[in-house]
Amino acid sequence: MSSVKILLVDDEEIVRINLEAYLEDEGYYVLSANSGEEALDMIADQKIDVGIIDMRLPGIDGNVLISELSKLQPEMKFIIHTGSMGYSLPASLVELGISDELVFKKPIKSISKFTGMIRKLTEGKV
Amino acid sequence: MKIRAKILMFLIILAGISSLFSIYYSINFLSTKYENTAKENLLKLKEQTEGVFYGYLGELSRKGLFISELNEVALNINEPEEISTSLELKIFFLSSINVKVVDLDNRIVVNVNNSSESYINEKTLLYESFFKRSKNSLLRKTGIVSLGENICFVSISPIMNQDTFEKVGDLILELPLDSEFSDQIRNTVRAEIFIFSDDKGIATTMLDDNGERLFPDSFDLMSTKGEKIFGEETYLIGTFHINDHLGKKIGNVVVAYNVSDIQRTKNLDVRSVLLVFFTVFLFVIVVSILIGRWLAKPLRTLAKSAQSISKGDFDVKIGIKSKDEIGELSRLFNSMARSLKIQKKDMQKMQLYLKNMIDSMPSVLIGIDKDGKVTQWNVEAEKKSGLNPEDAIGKKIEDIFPQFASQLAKFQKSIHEKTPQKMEKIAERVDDELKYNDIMIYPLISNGVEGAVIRMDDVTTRIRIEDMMVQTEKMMSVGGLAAGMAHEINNPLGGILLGVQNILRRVSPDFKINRDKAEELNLNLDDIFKYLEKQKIIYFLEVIQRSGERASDIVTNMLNFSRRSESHFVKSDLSSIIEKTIELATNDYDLKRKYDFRHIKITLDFEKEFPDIPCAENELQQVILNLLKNAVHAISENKGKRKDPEITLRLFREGAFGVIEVEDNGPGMDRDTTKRVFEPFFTTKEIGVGTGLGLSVSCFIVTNIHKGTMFVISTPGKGTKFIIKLPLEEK
Repeated sequence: MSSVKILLVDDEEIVRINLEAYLEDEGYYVLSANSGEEALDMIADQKIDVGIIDMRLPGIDGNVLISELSKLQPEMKFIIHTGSMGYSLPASLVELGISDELVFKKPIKSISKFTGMIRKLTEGKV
Repeated sequence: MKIRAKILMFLIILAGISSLFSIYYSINFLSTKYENTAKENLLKLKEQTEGVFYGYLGELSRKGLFISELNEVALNINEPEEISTSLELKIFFLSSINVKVVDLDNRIVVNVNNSSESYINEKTLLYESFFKRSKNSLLRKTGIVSLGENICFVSISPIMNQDTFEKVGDLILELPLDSEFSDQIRNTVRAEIFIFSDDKGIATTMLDDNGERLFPDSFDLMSTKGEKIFGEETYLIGTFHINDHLGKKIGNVVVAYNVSDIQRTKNLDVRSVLLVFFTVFLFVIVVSILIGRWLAKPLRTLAKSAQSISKGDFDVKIGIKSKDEIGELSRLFNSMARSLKIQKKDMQKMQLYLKNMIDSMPSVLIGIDKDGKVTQWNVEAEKKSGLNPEDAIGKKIEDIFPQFASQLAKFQKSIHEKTPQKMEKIAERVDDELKYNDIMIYPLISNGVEGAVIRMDDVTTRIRIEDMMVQTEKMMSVGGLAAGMAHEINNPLGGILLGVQNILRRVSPDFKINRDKAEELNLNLDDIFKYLEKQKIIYFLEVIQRSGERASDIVTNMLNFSRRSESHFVKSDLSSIIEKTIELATNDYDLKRKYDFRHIKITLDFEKEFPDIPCAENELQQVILNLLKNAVHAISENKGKRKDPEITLRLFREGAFGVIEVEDNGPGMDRDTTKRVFEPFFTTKEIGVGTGLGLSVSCFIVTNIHKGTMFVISTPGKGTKFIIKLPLEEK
């Protein structure tokens, strides 16, 4: 079964474990990391479809991480999941095709929003 | 006193005094003249009388000589009858003279009495010294003799025989000084004559009312100085003495000169004089009145004109053209009126200008004197107190503005020390609303003027703005704080919300994966779920979720306070924003739970051709949605009041602003609530329903982001109206 692989990067444990559990329940394959560095190590041999990335991270921040991941796997899609209400997309990420609708601001009241967006991003893939 | 009256009085006094003097001197003159004439006449009369009186004596002597030398007497000495007859024939010659012939033996042989009385008898001849003489004496003798109480003129002449030259006897002629005698004198001298022997009246020419001879008292008569009145006639009295042959005073002759005629003449003269003066006096009065009128007429004209001027009519012109002082005065008067008119005009202009200045001030300006009485009252003062200047001036300031009563000491101090005083934010309750005034007192500094100008400014708006600014500051600090906290809160909050949803999902029998996991453990998921429901765990979880959501809303709203720079302004159509917002509200799930929006009558009252104005659309939508929610919330409290729920939205222009009104017919708010609605975290909703930030955020968006204003008018029982004013042009 060629299931959709999700990379989940968040240093907030409660966010990470809940989102991981939810996505797994929904049938996704989830890799989770609590920092950018850990995430980069983890994906070395795996192809990720969608990355759900927190912006404020210990070490390298979300923006840098997305740029790095994108360099490694240009096919990879991203959902930005941030707690900063004032967050706005930097030009570098817009260049990568990331739009405002991919910016999820915490707290997300309806968890199904994630699966909805993931489905949309992975439509091309069966 | 009028000039006329003055002139009249002056002339009358002058005329009166001169008349009185003239009258006095005329009468005096007349009196003196009369008196002198009378005295002179009296003196003349007296002399005349004396002459006549003694003339009779001389005549008696001559008559004695004549008769004694008659031969028929001498020859008939022994025939007395003959002599008597002869003498009786000469009665006209003798008139009232008694004739006696005495022989050598001193016997009276012939006694012819022509007078009614005779006082000489033989005894008299023997004893009276006048009659003593020698037998042959040829001496002739004439004199006045007092005989008892009577007085007679007596003449003794020897009777000689012409042939023998022998003395044959004496002839004695006796003229008694009786009334008959006095009558004769009177006939000559035309004066009343009284003769007194010593004090006894022996002759009088005066008759009393009964025609009887009147003998006045000698003492009374002779002591009379000046005039004596008998009957209706007035007399002057003159007296001369009667001396006998020996020179002894034996009586008096009193001459009474009737001055009645002269007096009558005098009185007539006096009357004429008085009449003349009275006439002159009347003439003077009439002339005075005429002169007075003539002089006063132009003065009256002047006075009338002056009165007109004093009443403010400066257009009077006096037409007196005479070349005298009055003419000059009237010319000066005219020019004075002209310059007064100009000056008054200038003054009025100046007054108007100053009044305009004072009235156009937005401050209450009140002049007071040192007693605190109002002397000046401008339009603002009128507006504030509702009192006309006419009613206010003269009243005590504290009677009009009771709030000044506590400041009077400061007023006095200011006036006294000539230092301005300032009192800030003096609170005052007007119609249940608190208003603030700044009061300044400027003492009048010029010397001799005691008083002050009070300036009062309504600073309520300024203070409200200050309060609002404080509020904004508060909100901005809230915003800044929120921005810092948001991330820290949102992360765990996000986790909590995800966690709750996860739990709910994982206990739900609806998911196959859950049932599979349960089967692995030989558990029945349905039973577990039933248990969780029974124990309200599902409900608790839902409550946790809702609370998390609300916390999230609070953070979002708090962040709105700091999100200024982000909002981008676009010229937008407000009516479509409003309509969109209504659409949003209609579909709002939370709102539906409260009150179905579709049951509310929404009235739109938009001004036609309302221009697009620059605004941040999202934020404005947020504001309007918030207001709509509040309105619905308010209407939902209209329980049982049977009022058709209605929300009216208006859009119109007002000066440089576009105005949005959102009005509901809910229960309204009391004053305290109205005042606090924009305060952050203030809410009237039950705990857990509102964030307490909706209106403060709305206000922040309107005032801070859009530089507009937002306020609320609410009437308990009628409803609430929120008014938003946005500038039509971006600043």
